[in-house]
Order: sequence, then C-alpha cells, then structure tokens
Amino acid sequence: MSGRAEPPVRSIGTDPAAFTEFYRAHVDEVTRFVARRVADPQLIADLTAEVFLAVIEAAARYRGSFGGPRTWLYGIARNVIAAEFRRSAREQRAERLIAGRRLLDADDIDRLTERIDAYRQVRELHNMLQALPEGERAVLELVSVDGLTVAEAAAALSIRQVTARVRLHRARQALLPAPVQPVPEEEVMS
Amino acid sequence: MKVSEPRPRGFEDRLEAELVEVVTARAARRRHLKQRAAAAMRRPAARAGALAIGTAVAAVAGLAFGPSLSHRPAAPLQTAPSTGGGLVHIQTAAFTVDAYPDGTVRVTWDKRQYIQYRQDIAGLQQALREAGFPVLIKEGVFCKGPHDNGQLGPGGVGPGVGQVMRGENGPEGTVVFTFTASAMPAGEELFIGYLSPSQLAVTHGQPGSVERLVPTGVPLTCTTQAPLPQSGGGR
Repeated sequence: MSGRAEPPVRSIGTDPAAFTEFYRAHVDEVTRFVARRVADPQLIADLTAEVFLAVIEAAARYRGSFGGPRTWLYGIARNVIAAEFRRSAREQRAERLIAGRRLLDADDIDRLTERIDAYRQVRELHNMLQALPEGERAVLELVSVDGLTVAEAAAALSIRQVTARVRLHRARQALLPAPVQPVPEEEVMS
Repeated sequence: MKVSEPRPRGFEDRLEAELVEVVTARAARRRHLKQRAAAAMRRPAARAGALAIGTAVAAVAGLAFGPSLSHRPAAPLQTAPSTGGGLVHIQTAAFTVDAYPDGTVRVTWDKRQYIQYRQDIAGLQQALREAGFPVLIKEGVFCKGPHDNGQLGPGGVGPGVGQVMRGENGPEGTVVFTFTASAMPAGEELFIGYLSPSQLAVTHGQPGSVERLVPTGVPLTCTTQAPLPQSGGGR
C-alpha cells in the first residue's frame, strides 16, 4: 500500500481522476488478495473488477475507519469474495457488470498464473480455514492469509479489537492438533 | 526523432479504462441530476408538481408492505408520468422506475407481472441503484446486520424502513413504492428479501417480502428461513 496521501475516498465514485489514483495505488494488492483465495486467472480478473465496482458504489458512504482506506478496501474485497462463493453461477453471470476475463490476454493469464502458483500454500491455508465458524475464520483469514494486524482486521470487519483478539485466539486454538492422550501408567510400566 | 514505444497495456490497464468509464458516467449522471433539480426549483410549475407528489406520498405513510401486503382502498393515486417527469426512467415488463428532482424514486409494479417476472430482482436492484437508491435485493434469502436481533414489525418491516420506503395500492392491481434516498442513514442500505415461490405459501400466494435497513461494507447474516409474519417488536 502506498504511503502517499490518498485522494478523498468519498469522491472516487464520481471523480475519474480520484478513482484512477486510488485504483493504481491498490489494484495490485486487490489482485493478490483475490489470488490468495481463487486459483483461476479468469475468475481473478472478474473478481478484481467486481471489487472496484463495489468500491465505486460504496465510496460515497465511506466514513473513515481505523487503518483508513486500506482496511475499508479489504472489507469490501472480502464481501465480494464471500458473495462469489454464495451466489449461483446463473446469478453471477446475470449480475456481472464488467466481465474482467474479457480483458485478459495470454500475457495476463501467464502473469496471473505465476501469482496463483506463488500463493498455492497460502490458498491451502485459506481452504483449511473454511471449517471454522464464520466470525473466527474472517479474523484469522485477514491476519494469517493477508497479513493485516489484528487492529486492521477488526476495522475491516467492523468489529471491536477485543472481539477480534478473542476470535483469533479461538480460531488458532481450533486449528491446533488434538493433544496427545497421556499413556496410562500401567502401559508405561509393562 | 525518437519515437517511444507504446507501453504494453496489461489487464489492469484495460480494467482501469473500463472502470473510469463507469465513474465518468456516474459523474455525468450526477451533474445531470443536479442541473435538473436546479431547473425544477426555478420553475414554479415543476415545483408545484414535486410538492403534489410529496403530498401523495405523505398520505400513505405506514402502509404495510411485507407478507401482510395491505389491500385496503387507498387514496386516489397520482401516477408519475411515464416519461419526462422523472430524471431517470426505467421500464421493464415487471416494473417501472422513475427518479424525481426531490430525491425520491418511485417504483410501480403490477402484481400479476410480479408473479410472472419476480426473477427479475437483479434488474430491479440495478434500476434502483442507477436511480440513486442504495438497495440490496434477494429472493428466498433474508439478511440482517451483525447487530440486528432479527425481529420485525407488523408487515415484515424492520425499524427505520418507513422513513426510506412507502407503499401505495394503485388502480388495476398496481402497487407504487416511493423510495427516499436522502432519508437513508449514513452507512446503511435497504435490504429487500422477496419470498420464494415455496415461501409464498405463508402469504397464501400474495406477493410478500421483508425489508430491513442493513449496514454496508460489513458481512451480513443471511438465512433461507422466511421470518414469520407479524412477529412484532423492534430491532
């Protein structure tokens, strides 16, 4: 993420210059965010487009949050991905305003495939988390898969930091291997 | 003279160009709405028209809209002009959407068309958003925000919905809903969950839906279990 002063987020839905600046500052990060969850270059292109369309729609309602536009953007990206997994294929086709895959050429697909390969292990971790309850999974995902701090994850999910810490602790406990049962004393003696 | 090679444009650049077009179109629409609103305020006749619409809307406050959709006789409806009166006019087989200079959006439905074309909820959602009203519409799925206890008032309507949406039974089986974007609390949008065909058994086949205000930008809790009508209470 850029350390430069960002354009006012609320204007990016109606100001092309502000949008361009915001887009260029964040498009790589959004593409990486999607590639950590999806292994299909065409779907990555579609979802990257959808995240920024959602940003354009939501910008006027931005009220600022801890962590600034970055955590806000992560919250939106996460919602778009979650919606993707919930919707049926028919709904997805009907609702897509910009089909990002239409914009891909062979070089783009090679580049996205490299990125997909680079994130294979992270994606496996992401898949492992699917068994966790939604609230706990959301926090662990943003912290362990995306590298956000607990405070940033809390802001992205619009929950309190203490709640995020509790959920993160529970999620990590749930993923620990089951404790080894102590061997009964008589077996040790025999 | 040295001619520089054009920079190769990747997917990200092409996507940027398309998204900038979307933003540019929104900016143009916003300017158009402001100009039309300003022009309407300068024209006495237009201002009177807008006030007449507002009066008609105010008269129907509190109409139950959800699973217990009211069929009581209504005051004579002042129907919107099909074109010209609205800043945005969208008409499909299932509904008509008109946006007005006073910031309201009116949606006219024919109940029979609703039964036949209810699968066009994606089109209705897009039309309302294009008209400037923030809304999320689903069928057979009912969502609420993280701090919403899920209780609904009579008619399947959540707290605050009456400020942003009002309904009126019109002539010949039509229903007119007026949406007021300016009354929407910051950071919220209207969720509308239409009953699926199997869930319509609850309303004996009459069109039914649940409305709530939900926060934007946060995960919502959704279920396919239709809320019981007239469950009472507030959020």
